[in-house]
Amino acid sequence: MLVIRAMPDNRSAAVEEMVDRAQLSASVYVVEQSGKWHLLYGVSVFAHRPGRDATDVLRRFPRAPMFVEAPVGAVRAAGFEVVPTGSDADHFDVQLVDGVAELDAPPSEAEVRAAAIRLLDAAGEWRPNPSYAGEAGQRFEED
Amino acid sequence: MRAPWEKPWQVEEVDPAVVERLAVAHAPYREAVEMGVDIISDPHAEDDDGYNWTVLSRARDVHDVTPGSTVVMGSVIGSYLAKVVAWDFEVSGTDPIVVLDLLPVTPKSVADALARAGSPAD
Repeated sequence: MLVIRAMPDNRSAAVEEMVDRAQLSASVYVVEQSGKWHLLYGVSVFAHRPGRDATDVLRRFPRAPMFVEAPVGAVRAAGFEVVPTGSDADHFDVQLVDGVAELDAPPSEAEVRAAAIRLLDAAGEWRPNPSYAGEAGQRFEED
Repeated sequence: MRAPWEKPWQVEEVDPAVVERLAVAHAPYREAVEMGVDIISDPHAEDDDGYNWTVLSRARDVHDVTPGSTVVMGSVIGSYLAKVVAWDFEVSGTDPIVVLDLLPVTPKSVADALARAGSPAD
């Protein structure tokens, strides 16, 4: 299975958003890992299942010019857990910083940023979003 | 809370006194002001009920993002229309989670449709 995240055309903006959302996620959510509850420094992604077209996922992001897509195995090989979250069976969070309990000292913003950069490096090439509708975002989608 | 497709007209009202208390303490979120949107979120995010979520501190003006409001949600990958479904105070009494139902239409397509109608449809 692949996981997809829609992206802006600016890598540093993407990194900063991932850092912000991961820290926000950790202020709200915990996740059970190996029998212990850890803060969820989550970055949301959607599954791209075999046999389905990427546009099935990307049509909900018509204002995103780019996307990244990576096999779950590659994400895990880079040291990140992929956790099912939300009510949609195709929605997951990538745990940016693992093993932080509620009473632990939180990771610094620099540590979270380094993890986000490492995740993007593991995700590989940025590709144009086939559902991109331009700056105005007119299309939502012609099936 | 019900999933969005089970009861799309449902909203969870907030006591106006609570709205005022939070509005007084609120500072407009810089990115929301700069983007000219009501609130910032990540359109990928999904909670356990299938809704998008952010927090009230990411709003430009508290009064514009109360449950039942239609809002423009900004992100690094553009703006999206959403309905505010609820404020969830479970984690914080001062910065509640804002529960959003993302609408599968673009802001521009709605603006164009309203323009074709000649006036907003009440």
